[in-house]
Formats: sequence, structure tokens, C-alpha cells
Amino acid sequence: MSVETDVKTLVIDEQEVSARAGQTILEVARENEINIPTLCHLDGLSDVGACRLCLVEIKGSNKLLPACVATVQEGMEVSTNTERLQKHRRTILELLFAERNHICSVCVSNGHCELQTLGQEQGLTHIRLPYRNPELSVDASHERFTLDHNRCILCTRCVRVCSEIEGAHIWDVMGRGINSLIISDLHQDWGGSACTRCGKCVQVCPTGALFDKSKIGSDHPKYPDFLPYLNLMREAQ
Amino acid sequence: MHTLLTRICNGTGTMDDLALLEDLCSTVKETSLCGLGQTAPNPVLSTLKYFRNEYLEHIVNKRCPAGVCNMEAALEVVA
Amino acid sequence: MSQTITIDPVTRLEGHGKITIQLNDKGEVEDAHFHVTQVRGFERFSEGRPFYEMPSLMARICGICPVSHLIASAKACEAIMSVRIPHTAAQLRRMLNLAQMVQSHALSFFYLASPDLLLGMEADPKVRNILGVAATKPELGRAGIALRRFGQSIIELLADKRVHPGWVVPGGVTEPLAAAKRDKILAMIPEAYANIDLALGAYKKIADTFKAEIGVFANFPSNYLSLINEDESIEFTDGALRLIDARGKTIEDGITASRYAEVIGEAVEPYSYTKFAYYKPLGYPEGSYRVGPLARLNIVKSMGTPKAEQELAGFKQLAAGPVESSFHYHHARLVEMLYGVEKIEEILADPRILDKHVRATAGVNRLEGTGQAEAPRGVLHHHYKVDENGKITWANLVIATGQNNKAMNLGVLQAAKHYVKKGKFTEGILNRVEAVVRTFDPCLSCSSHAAGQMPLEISLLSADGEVVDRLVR
Repeated sequence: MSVETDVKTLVIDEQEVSARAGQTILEVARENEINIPTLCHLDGLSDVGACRLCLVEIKGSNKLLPACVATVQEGMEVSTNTERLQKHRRTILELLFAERNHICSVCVSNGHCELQTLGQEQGLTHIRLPYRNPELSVDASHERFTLDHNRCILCTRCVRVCSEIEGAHIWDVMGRGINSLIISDLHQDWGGSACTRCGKCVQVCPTGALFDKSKIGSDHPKYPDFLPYLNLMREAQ
Repeated sequence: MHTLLTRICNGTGTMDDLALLEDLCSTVKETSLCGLGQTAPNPVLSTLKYFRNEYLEHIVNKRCPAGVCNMEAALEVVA
Repeated sequence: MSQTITIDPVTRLEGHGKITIQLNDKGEVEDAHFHVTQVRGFERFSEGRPFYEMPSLMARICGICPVSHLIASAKACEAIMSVRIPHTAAQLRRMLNLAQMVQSHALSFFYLASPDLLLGMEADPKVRNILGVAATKPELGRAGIALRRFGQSIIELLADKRVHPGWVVPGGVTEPLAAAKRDKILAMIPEAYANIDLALGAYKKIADTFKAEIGVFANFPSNYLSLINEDESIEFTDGALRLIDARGKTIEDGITASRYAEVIGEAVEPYSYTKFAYYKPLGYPEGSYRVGPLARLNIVKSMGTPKAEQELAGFKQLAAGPVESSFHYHHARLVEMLYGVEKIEEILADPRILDKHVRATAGVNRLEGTGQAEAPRGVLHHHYKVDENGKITWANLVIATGQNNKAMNLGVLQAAKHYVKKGKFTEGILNRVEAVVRTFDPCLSCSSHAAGQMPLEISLLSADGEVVDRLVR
């Protein structure tokens, strides 16, 4: 590819925008202040397109594309907030809420939880699906942090931040489907793992699944904004 | 989905369950990342399309036209 | 023909309960029980949770006295952490607990009890409620609402939320008190005094007209248990427990939270989900005792604040030894509210209350912890065991209502025997039987670790359980 920037023009929500080739729809939308809801995406981490909340409609295609991984094409016409998408987003959120035990009232992240906020934004008033109420454990073996599987939505941000940014790759996912579980090392207690205690996973966790032991009640805001800056500084070196 | 189908099959399902089942099928079909997810709801969707009256029979009349489902749970509720 | 009268649910209580009255062949009262009919299972589902989550989890037991649960729970957690919390944090918590006591007592006295007291036990059930009080005695209705707001506003100012605040945490509190908030609380105090004076004046005027009720509303000798300071003054948040007998003699003193389980046992009766607490050395049911405002005022020698001290002297004159009729719970509640306001004023006068250091931190240093505090309706005890990671492996809560349970049952029996004659009863009589329970201001949601709204249904059953008569309101 030449050094010159390859510019693509496309339409997002009836707004004409231009983008550099290789940019994702999500990036371009956010640059133009068009909001697309996301959960597994986090600026500074690679994308996996797992949560399916950022799905968008492309004119001429029956398939819905995840905006976080779909790259822009010349002449694309993207709709980010149709009725169909809203319905799917609500159903996805319902599925997330029904899958594990999300009890906001006693959660450390109450008031600053991405899942809770999305539920509010998408107008989720109740969960139509039967709750599964699985019996899940809490790993409190780490000296500083706690992992509560009940609140985990398997977004894998912790897995990615640990592997891509910290370079420790303590976290991974075991099992399949509803039996999936975030594990440290090869399913050892977090406290006994090779964890570097950096706390990045806690900061990037969108819910209260990973939290600081010293934070009790709902006084646990998280600050994942350090990632893009960290990446920028590393590239500059 | 399985829970909803089980409910409908044993006669404790409601019309809301049917609507929810359809919603769920369409979401799974349209939003899945992999081919399995995109096709897995098809059997349910097909039966909903071609045998809708049987679903209704299960829900409204608590009866299994094909005589396959055990509807005891429903009878208990009614009794 | 023997019969059973069922009052279900009992109205104007916090939670869902019912009363059954068993009549013999002659239509005389044979036995009576107060049943708590709901079960919640907090002790079970706290298992596996990290211990430091317990205060916020346990506060959810009750929307009336979440603060007491918060404090007892936080203290149990601090025993696990083996820390002493900063002085300022202790004082802030004390103030929060007092504010809650004032609002809860205001709820009990004005909203739940005053309809009986001001409008009469026989008043039409349609108007025998707080709205009826507001219509006939508007100044008292307003005072009640204002006092409740007083307590709730302080809780909100201190802890950000009126119900289930997350401010109390193991080790102290999350935020220090800002000077502006202190001044706001101070500004509310004069009005609170005026309202309590009004209520005390009104109560004393009408108390004499309830001689008959005073005589039979759980009026019997019993033991009493409450927290007390070393200087024998009243205490809601710290101090140690003292148990006195029916004549006022101290049986057991200095019961700290960790010794509680040695001294207090819990019995189970088939008719109630609430356990029955008793003093172990005396066994059950002889070791049953009463807790709450009546017990506290019977046990303490002083209030430690000038106005309440005077009122305490007046209260102590009601009887030579301990005051025995549970009817006087109402009186005791008013005295305590006065104390609460005075004490809050006193705490706020200390400039150290604005200190920024309000939290101690530590990990798991012990595998077991206990904490106790006075809830508005009596002493509350939390007891946790944890594993080395701090996850709860076992929890037990001993709640005020469980400790008053035997006394409530005996009180219901006493009033029923007095009022129900020859198998006949009227609505007013059954209301009196309910009012006995109301004097204790039991919190059934706490005790069965349950919540509910209740209309009232009374049925008269024959011995074989057949409904003979039914009254619904």
C-alpha cells in the first residue's frame, strides 16, 4: 500500500463520513460521534467481536456485521440503530442478565457498571427469560483482588489485557458455551497463580466480576482509559 | 430455548413463551458469530412455521395432537 | 366445642405474621401463639460470599433498620479483621444508628401504634390508621412525619441514601462528614425537640386511659437484655450486654459479642419461622427475656443526656422494679427518641467529627467474628465464620424479634385470656390482641431473615380445623 492515505467515504446513519482504509466501522462512527453500544470492545485492546452488541445493518446485505471488527468499504451505507438492532441488543442483554447472578443492589459496580448502564440505555425494563441461577464460586484467594464468576459476562477483556498489555497471560477461558469460565493459569487459585498484581484486569472489567478487595459497597468506579495512552507511549519508544 | 420448549411441551407454556421463543430464535440466528449459531435455531423456526397449530394446541388446550408429549404437569396445574 | 381463632395477617407490623387463639370446650382461651410465617434464608445464601460484602448484603434484610444490620455486620467483620476503627468513624456510625432509631421509633409510635392510642382500640378500622390520626390530631400526625423525616434525612446526609446505605463498611465508613452537612443536621434539631415534646405530652395525657390494656399487654415478670456502657448509661452501638432478672438484679454482665453464643441459645417452635432466643444457663423457656426500648430503659441507670435523663426518672417511677407491661414500650420509645436527638447534637458538637481519617484496613486475621448493636427493637447479633480467603462458610443472625418472641407469645396469650370470653370476640378485642404484638414493634422481615403487606383476616376455627366464623377487613 502506498504511503498516501487511502480514503474511503461511506454513510453511517444517513451521515456522510470519510475514513482511512482499514478502520473499523466502530472507530469511524465514534470519531463522528455516532454511538454504537459495545461491551467486549475496549480502546487499546484487540477486538474479538464476541458480545454482538455492536452489530450494524449494511444496506444490500441481509447479514448483520459487528462494527468493532468490520472494516469500512467504499460506498457502504451503515445503519447503527434500527428497530431490528435495538430488539436484538435488548435480547442479548437479557441473555447476559439471565445467564448468571447479576444482583446490582449488592454489587461493587452498582452505578458504574457497563452492563447495567447498557441495560438502562437500551430501555431494558425486565428480563423475559427465566434466570438460570447457576451456582458459581468466588475466588478470593488473591491478596488484593477478588474474582466473582457470578458477575462475569465472559467479555474476555481481562484475558486480552493480561496477554496483550501486561504480557503475563494469566487469564484464559475454559469450557464451552454456558460452562465457560475465566480461569487463572491452568485453573489454579488466582492467589497461587503467576499474577503480577498489576490490576489492569480489574480496571478493564466492565462489571463487578473483578474488583479490588479494599473497595466495598458501590464505591468502585473503574478507569480503563489508560490503555490507549499506554499503547501510544509504548509505540513512541 | 430448551427451557421454553420444555415448558410448552409439558403444557405449562404460555403465549408469551411462544413469542419469546420466536424472538430468541431470530436473535440467535441473526447475531451469531459462527455458522452453528446461525443455523441452530432453524429446526425450531421451521416447526414454528409449519406446525404452528400444534404449538398452539399445546399452549391453549394443553393437548399434544401427536400424542408424544407427557402433559401431566399441565394437568396438575389445571387440577 | 373447642375452637381456634386465627388473626391473619396481623396488621401494622413490619412483616407478615398471624395470631391463633385456641379455645377449649367452654370457650375459654386455652393457648395463643404468634406465628411468623415467612422464611428468607439470608444465613444460607451469604455462604460463599466474601466477608467484606456482608454489611451491604445483610442491610438488605430490612428496609426499616438496615443501619443496625450494617453496624452489627461491620463489627463482626472487624472482629474477623481484628481492627479497631478510628474514633471519628465510631462516632459517625453511632450517629447513623441513632438517626435510624429515631426514624424507626417514629414509624412505630406514630404510624403503627398511635391510631390505637389516639383514636382508641375500638375505633373503626377504616380510620384507625395514620391518615385517621392526621385527620383528628393533625399536629401529631405532622410531628410523626417530621420526626421520621428527621431521622431519614440524617441517614441520607451521612450515607447518601435513606435506605440500604453503603457507607458503613468493615473498618469504618467510606466518607468523612463534611462541615456543611453537619450544619444541616444541626439546623434540624430544634424542630425535632419540639415534635418529641409534643408526642411525650400527648402520650402522658392519654396513657392513664389505657389502664386496662397496660394491665394485660404482656404484663408479666421477665428477664431483660440490652447493651450498656461501663458507666451504666444507655448504649446503642458499642458497650457490652447486661442481662437482668425480673426484679432488676444483674444476672450476667459484660457480655461482649464474642461471648454471646456461650450465653444465648436459640430454640425452635413448630409454629413459627422465627427462632426463640433464651439465656442458656436458665434453659428454654425459663431463660426467655425481653429486648428493645423497655429492656434498655429497665437496665440502664442513666441516659447520659440531660433531657432524656429527666424523662428516664419519670419512666422509672412507673414501677418499683423493672417496668413489666409491654404497653410501656411506647413510652420508652419516646424517651429514646429524645435521647437520640440529644446525643446526635452532642456528637456533632465535637470538632473531631469532621476528621478525615475514618477507615481502618486489614485482611483476614481471624476465622470467626461476631458483632452486636442495638436495633430500634432490641439487640442484634451477627456471627460469621470465614475460610482463610475471607469467604463466609457459616453465618448466624440473632434478631431482636427472635429474642422477644416468647414474650410476644405470652403477651398474646395473656391479652387473649383477658378479653376473649365464652368464645366471643369483637373486632376491637382482636385489635387489642394485635396491639400487644405491636407494642414490641417486631420486625418480622428481620427475624425470619420476610417482607409483605397485610390486610387482616380473622377466622374462628373448631378443634378439627373447620372454619366456624370468618371476619375480613
